[in-house]
Amino acid sequence: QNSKLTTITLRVKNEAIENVFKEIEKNGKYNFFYDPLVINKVNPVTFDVKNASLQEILKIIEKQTGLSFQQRDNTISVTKKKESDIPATKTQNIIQIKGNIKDKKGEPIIGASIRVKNSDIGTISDIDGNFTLSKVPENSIIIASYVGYNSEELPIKNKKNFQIILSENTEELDEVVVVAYGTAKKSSFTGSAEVIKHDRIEKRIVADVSKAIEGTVAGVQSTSGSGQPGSGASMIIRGFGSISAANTPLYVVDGVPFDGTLNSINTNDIESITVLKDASAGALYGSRGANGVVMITTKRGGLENDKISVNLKANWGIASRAIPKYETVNEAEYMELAFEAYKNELIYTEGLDPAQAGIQAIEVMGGIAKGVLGYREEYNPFDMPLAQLIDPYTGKVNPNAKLKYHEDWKDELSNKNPLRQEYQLSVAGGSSKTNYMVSMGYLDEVGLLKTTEFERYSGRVNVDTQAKDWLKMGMNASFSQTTSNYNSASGSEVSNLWYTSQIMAPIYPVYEHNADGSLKLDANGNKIFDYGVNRIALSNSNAIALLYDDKEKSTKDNLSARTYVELVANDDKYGFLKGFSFTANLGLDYFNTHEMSYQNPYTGNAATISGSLTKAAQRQLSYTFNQLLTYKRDFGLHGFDILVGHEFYQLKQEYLAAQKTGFPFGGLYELAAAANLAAASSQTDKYAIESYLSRANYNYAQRYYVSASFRTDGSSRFYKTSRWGKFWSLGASWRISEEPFMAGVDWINNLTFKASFGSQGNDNIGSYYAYQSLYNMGLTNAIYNGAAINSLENRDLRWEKNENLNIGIEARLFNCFSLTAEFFNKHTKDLLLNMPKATSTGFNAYPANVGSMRNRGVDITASINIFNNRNFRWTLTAMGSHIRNKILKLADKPEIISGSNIFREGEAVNSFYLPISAGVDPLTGNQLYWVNHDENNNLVERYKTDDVTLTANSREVVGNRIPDLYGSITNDLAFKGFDLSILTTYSIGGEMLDGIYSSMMNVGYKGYVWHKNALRRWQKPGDITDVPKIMWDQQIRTTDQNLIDASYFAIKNITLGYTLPKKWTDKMKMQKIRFYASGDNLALFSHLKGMDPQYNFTGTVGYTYTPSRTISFGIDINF
Amino acid sequence: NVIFTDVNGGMIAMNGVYRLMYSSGWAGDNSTHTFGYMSTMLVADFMGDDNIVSSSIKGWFSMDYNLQERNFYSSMLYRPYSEWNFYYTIISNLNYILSHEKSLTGLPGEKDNLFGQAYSLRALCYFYLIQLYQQTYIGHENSPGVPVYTEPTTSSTEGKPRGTVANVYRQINEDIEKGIGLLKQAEEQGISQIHKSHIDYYVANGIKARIALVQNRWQDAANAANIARQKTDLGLADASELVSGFNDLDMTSVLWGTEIQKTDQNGAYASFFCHMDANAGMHASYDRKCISAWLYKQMGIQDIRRNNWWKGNIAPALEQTQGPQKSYCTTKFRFSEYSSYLGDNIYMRAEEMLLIEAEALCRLKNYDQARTLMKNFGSIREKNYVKNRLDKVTDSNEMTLDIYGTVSTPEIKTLLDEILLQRRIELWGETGRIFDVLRLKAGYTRDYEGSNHIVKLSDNTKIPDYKGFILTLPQSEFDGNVNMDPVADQNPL
Repeated sequence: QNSKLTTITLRVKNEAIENVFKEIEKNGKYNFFYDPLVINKVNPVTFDVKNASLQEILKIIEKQTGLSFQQRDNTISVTKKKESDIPATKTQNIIQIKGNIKDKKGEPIIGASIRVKNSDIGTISDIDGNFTLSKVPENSIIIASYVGYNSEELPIKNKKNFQIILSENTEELDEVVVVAYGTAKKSSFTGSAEVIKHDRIEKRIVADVSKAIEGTVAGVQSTSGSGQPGSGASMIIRGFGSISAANTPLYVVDGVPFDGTLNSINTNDIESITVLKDASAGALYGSRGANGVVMITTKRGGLENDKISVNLKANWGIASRAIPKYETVNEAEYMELAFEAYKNELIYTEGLDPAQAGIQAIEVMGGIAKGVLGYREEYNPFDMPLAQLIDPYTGKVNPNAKLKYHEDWKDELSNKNPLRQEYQLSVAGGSSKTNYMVSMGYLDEVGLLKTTEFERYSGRVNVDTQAKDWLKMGMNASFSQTTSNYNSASGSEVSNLWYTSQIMAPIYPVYEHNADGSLKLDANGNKIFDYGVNRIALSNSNAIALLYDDKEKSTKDNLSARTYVELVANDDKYGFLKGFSFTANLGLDYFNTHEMSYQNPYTGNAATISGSLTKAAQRQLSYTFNQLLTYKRDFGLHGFDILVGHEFYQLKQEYLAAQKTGFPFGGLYELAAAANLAAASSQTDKYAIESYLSRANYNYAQRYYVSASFRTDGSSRFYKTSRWGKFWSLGASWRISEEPFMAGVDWINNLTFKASFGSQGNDNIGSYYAYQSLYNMGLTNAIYNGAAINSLENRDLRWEKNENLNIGIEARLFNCFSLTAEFFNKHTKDLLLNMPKATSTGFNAYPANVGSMRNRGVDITASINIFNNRNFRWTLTAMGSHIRNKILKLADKPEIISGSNIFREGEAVNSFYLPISAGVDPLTGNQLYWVNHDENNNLVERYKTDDVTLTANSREVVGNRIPDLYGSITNDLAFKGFDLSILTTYSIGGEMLDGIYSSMMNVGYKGYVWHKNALRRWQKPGDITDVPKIMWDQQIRTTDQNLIDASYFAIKNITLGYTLPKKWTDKMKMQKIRFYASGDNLALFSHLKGMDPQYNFTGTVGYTYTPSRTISFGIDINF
Repeated sequence: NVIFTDVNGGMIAMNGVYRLMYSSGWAGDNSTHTFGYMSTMLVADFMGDDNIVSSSIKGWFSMDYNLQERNFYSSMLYRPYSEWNFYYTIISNLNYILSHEKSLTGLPGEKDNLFGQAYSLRALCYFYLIQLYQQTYIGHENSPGVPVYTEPTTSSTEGKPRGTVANVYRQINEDIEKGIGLLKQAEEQGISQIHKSHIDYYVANGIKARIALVQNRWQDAANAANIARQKTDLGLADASELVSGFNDLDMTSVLWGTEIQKTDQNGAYASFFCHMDANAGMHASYDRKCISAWLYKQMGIQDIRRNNWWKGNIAPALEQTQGPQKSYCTTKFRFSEYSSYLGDNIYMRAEEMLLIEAEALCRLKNYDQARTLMKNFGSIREKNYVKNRLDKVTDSNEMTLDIYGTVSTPEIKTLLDEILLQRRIELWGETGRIFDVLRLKAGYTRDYEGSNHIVKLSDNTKIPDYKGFILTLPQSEFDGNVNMDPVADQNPL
C-alpha cells in the first residue's frame, strides 16, 4: 500500500542488521518488530540502493541474512526462515572445514571453542587440538577461543584447513576479585585477598561451606568441626584477633553481611569465596572486619557458548570415623589394672600389708559397695569367677579364662555405613539483557551417631537485568529448609554418648547377657539394653537406649535475599555525569527455627517427672540497606574510582519456649499431652549499626596504584558517647613488571609489590547490650516479682581496634611458577576483654577495653605447573603460614589465670600454665613435681615433692597451641579424561592438653577405662617409668608432661574424576558427563592416636561428636 | 533505672535476692551441687562428722565430704568459688538496694520493712562467708577476714582486702542491729511479714541468735532466740509434722523458708530434696545420705526420730543398691510432690531457736530455764524424755561429751552435753554441722569403732582449727582483686 509510494535511498557496508532497520525507520515511518536474539545472529549486510521501494530492500536483506518479513500496515515483523526455507543460495556455499589449534609452544589446546561468527554453528577441539566444522557458509568468519588465550577471528575465504595458534592472554588470567562494595581486578588490588573457585569448593563433601575452606587459603586456621551432620567448622584468619570478643570472621554473602546459618547455603550455588585478610581489603567492612572477611558469591546466569546450561549432579557417600579411637585396655588388662588399683588403695591408704592386700583386694573388687563387677559379679565378662580369674599374688588374669562376650560402646553407638546423598539441578541462561540462574538441591546426611541426621531442601533464583542502558536491577533469593536430629548432651552428662562410650570400662556390655554370655532377648527377639542398675560407672542409665527413647530435633526455614538497583552513566552522552553510578542494596536474612527436646518418661533424667518436652521457636530478621555513589573514570593514564555511601544494619531476634512435664506414656511429642507446665519464657533482642563509608582508588598507567578508605560506624552495643568508631586504610601497589624497563625481561610475567595499613573494628563481645547495666526480671519469689542485677554498666566501652600492616609480593615467572608472599603485623588495641573483677564485688568480670595484643607472621603460597602438556597436566600448590602471638599489655593485673591457661603480658594468648613434672618416684610410684614454695607459701629453692597441694603456686608457662608452621599441599593432575586432586594439610609445632587422654591415664572413677599406655605404670619399688602407680582416688595434677605435640598431617580430600570423551557425549546430545569418586577427611597422622589436634584453637579436646570421613561417588552432567 | 523508683520497686529487687537464695548455677556447669543457701547447709553438714555421703562412686558432694573441694580453688566449678560467688552476688544486690535507702519514695513503714530485710540478709551473708572461709570468731579475731563491701559495685569498684575477722563481725553486728531496729519500726507501723520467705523482725532475731552464739555472747543469743520464738502462730512442731518430710512452710515451727511453687523455681536435680530424698529416684537414691552410726545410737529407743528420720542398721543381705533400704539412710527430707519436684525449703525453725536459747541459758548457768525448754522439746520426741535423759544429766555447762565418740555407749553427763547432742540430732542436714565443730573447737573423728563413714579422713580432723574445715579462696578473687595476693592472702592449702 503506502510502502510502494515511499522510496528509500540507503547505502550500508557490513552493517549490523539492527542498524539498518533503525535507518529505515528514520526514513519511512516504518516500525520493525523483531527479537533481538534472532537478528543478532544474522550476518551483516552490504548494499547500495537509490529510491528503492521497501520491498526491494527487504528482498536484498532476505537474501543476505535469511530473515523473512511480514508487513501489516507500517509494522514489519521480522522472523528467521527455517533452514529448509532457505533455498540453497548461490551466493553462500556451504562447506566443511577442518583444523587444528595449538598454543605457542606447539601443544594442542583441548576443548577450545570454534564458532562461526554470528551463527549457532560451533564445536570444540579434541584432545589433539583437531576440529571439524561442517555446514559453514563459505564467506563467513570463524572464531577460535579458549579461556586464558586471546581469541582469533579468521575469515574462511575458501580455505578448508586451518592451523590456528592462540597466544596466552595475561589480562584474562587477571582474576576479578570480589571486594567490599564491588569488584576489583586482582592486579589493581592493593590489599590481601584470596579467591577460592567453585571447583575447589565442590570437591569437598560438606553440608556447610565453612568446612571447605581449610587448606585453600594461606593464613586461615580451621577446626575439624563436629561430625554432627550439617555442622560447620570454625576458622580464624591470621591468628587470635581478640581475647574475649569473637575471633570469627565476618561472612558476607553477595555483598551483604550474612546472619543466617551457613549450612542453609547450598554449596553448589557458590561461584567463589574471597577471603579478605588485611585492612586495605577489609577496612570497608570496618565495623566488623577485624577478624577478616569471608565473601561468598553465588553463581549468576549468562549464556555459555550461547547455550542455556543445565547441570545435574548426584552424589552418594558413606561416612565413618575420621579420627581413630583412642587405644584403650581390653577386658583382661582392665581387670588386672582394676585389681591393682584396689590393692594399692589397701596398701597405701589403708596401710595393709602388701602380702595381705591382694586377697582382700579380690574381695573388695567383687563386692557390691566398691566393686566394679556389680551384683554377684554380673559384670565379670570371663567364664570363671573372680576368685579364680585373678591370682591375688601376681595380679595376673588366669590364662585359661575365656571371654563370654565383647561389646564396645563406641561401636554400638554408631550407624553402620550411614548414607549421605545429594542431588542438584541448576539452570543458567539469559539474553543480552537479562541473566538468570535457578537451582534446586536436596541433601540428606545420616550421622555416625545413631538417630542423628541432617536434611536440606534448597532453592535459589538469581536474576540480573539491564532494563535500560542506565538502569540495572537484580535479585538473589534463596530459600532452604534444614532439619537436624541431634543429641545436645555435652560434657560429662550421661546422655552424652561421646562421653559415656569413651569412659566406659570394657567389661560393661551395652546389652543384657545370660550367664553363659549369650545375648538376652525379649519376647519379640530384640536385644535388651543393660541399664546398669548395679554398674558402678554411670549406673542406672544406658545412653544408647536414650538415643531412641529421647528425641531432639530442630527445623529451620531460611530465607535470604539480596536486591539491588543500579543507575549507571557510562557513556559520553551523559556529559559530566559520565562515570557516575548510584547503587542501592537491600539484603535480608530471615529464619525461623523450631526446636523440640523430649525426654522419655521411663528412664533417664525425666523419669521422676514422667517425661519432659520443651518446644522453642526462634525468629530472626536482619537487614542491611545501603546507598552507594561511585565515580569511575579514566583520564588518559590516570584512573579514578571513588565511592561514598551510607549503610544501616539492624537485627531482631525473638524467642519463645515452653516446657511441660508429666506424660501419661511415652512417644507423645506435643505439649498438650503433658500435665504440668514447667517453664515458659520469651525473649527479644535488638542490635543495630549505622555507617558512613568512603573509598578512593587511583592508578597511573596501570602501574602505580593507591587506595584509601574511611568508614565510621555507630554500634548499639556501646553507649552513645563512645558509640562511633573510625576505621580507615591506606594501600599502594607497584606493578614492577609493567614498567618500560622491564619490557625486555620475558621470564617475568608479573611482579607486583604492595603494602597496606589500616584499622578495623570488633564489637562482638557476646552481649547485645554490652555497656548497659541490666536486671534479670525472671526471678519470681513465690508469687512475687523479683529481679537481680546481672551486668555492670560501662559507658566507656568502645570498639576494639585492629591495626593491620600487610606487605606483600606477587610474582609469576616463566609462565609456570606463581608466588605470593606476605608479611603481616596485626596489632589489636583496646582489647574488648571481660576484665576480671574481684568475685567479692559480685561480678567476676565486666566488659572493658584493656590491653593490646600482637599477631605477626608470614603467609606464603607457591604454585607450579610441573607438567603442562596436552596429555598430562600437574599443578602443585603449597601454602605455609607462620604466626606468633604476644599479649603486649593487660591492664591492672598483669595476668589472668583460667584453669590450665594463663593470659600474661609477654606470653602468647591461651598459654598453658602448669606445674612441672619431676617424673615418677621409683620408690613410691608417686608423681613428683618441681615446686618452689614450702608449706607456708614461702619462696624457697626449687625442690621435688609428691605433695599435690604445693604445686598450686609453682606453675610455669609451658607452651601453647599456636603452631610454628601450618598450611596445605595440593596436587591437581589431569591425564586425558582423568582428573585427580589431592588436598593435604599440615601443622607443625604447638602443644595440646588432651584431657580425655589424661583422665584415662589417671582413672579417678571406678568403672572408667584406662588407656593402653597406663599398662607401663609403676608397679613395684625400683620401676623406672613415667606413669605413676595405679590407685583409686589418687590426686595427680596435670603437669607439663601431659602436653602432647600438636603437629599433624592430614589427607583432607582426594578426588578422582573421569570425563567421557567428547565424541561419546556428542552422540548422547550432552555437553559433558563426569564421574567421580571422592574421599573427604581420609587420614590423620598425629602424635596420639585418637586425639583430634584440630578440636579447637586453644589446644584442648572434649567429649564431642567425632568428625566423620566420607567416601562418595558422584556424577555430574551438563546438558 | 526503672526498678529503684519507689519502695515497690525496691521490693522487686528484694524478692529477686530471695529467689537467688534458692537458684542454682553458682559454679558454672556444676550447677547440680550449688543451689544456694540449702547447698551451703548441706556442704557444711557433709564436712562434719554426722552426715555421710555414702556412694562409693564419686557423686555430688562427695568431695565436700572428703574435704577435697578446697583443693580446687582455681576452678569455677567447685566449692571455693561457688560459695564465695553466691554470697557476694547476693551482697552486691543488697548493696544496690541499700544505696537507695534515702532516695526511694514510699510509706516509711514499708521502707523500714524493705531496708530492714536488706540489712539483716547482708548480716547473714557475711556471717556464713566468714564461717566458711575462716576459723571461728573466738581466738581468731585478728585472723584474715573476708572483704567487706557496703557500697554498690560499679565498673570502677576495686576489690577490698581481707581485713580481719573482728572487722567482719563488727559489720555483721551493725547490720543485724540495724535490720532488727528497722523491722521493729515496720512492725510498729503495722507492716508485717507477707510471706515466709521474707525476713521479718523475728527472723532477724533468729539470725542474731545464730551470730551471738558463735561469738559466745550467751545472753544476746538467749534473748534473740527467745524473741524469735515469740512470732505469732509459731510453735514447736508436733510429732506428725516432724515426720512429714520437712517440705512445707506451713509447718507450725517454720519461721523462714522458701516456697517452691512451680517446677521452674526449682533446679530439679539442683535441689535440696534431689540430694536428700532417697525415694525420688534421683541423686539421693544412688548416693544415699546416712547418719553417723555413733550419733544414731545416741537416740533413745523410743525417740520418734530414730525410726522416722533414718533407717537403722540393716543386715548387708537386705540392703539394696538403690533407694533408702540401706543402713542409717535418711528419710527425714522428702519431696512434697515428685511429679513436679515440689517441696519447700526450710531455713529456720523454732526448734533451732529453742536449742540456741537452751544452750545459751545453760552456758549462763540458768539451768532451770534450760531444762524447761529441753523438756518441752524432748517430750514431743520421746516418751519419758525427762526420765530417760534429762534426769540423768547434771547441771553443768561443761562439755564432757566424748567428742570423738570412741565409746559405743552414750556417755552424756552434763546438761550441756544433752543440749548439744539434741542439736546434732535435731538439726541434722539443716544447719551445717561443721559450723558447730568450729565454734565448739571440738574437732572430730570419723574413725571410731563401728564407724559407717565411707571416708574416715586423717587424725588431723581432731585439730579444732584444722585447715580442712574451712574453704580456700577462689582464684577468681585474686585474678580480679588488686588488694589481694594469691599466695599471702590464701588460706592454708
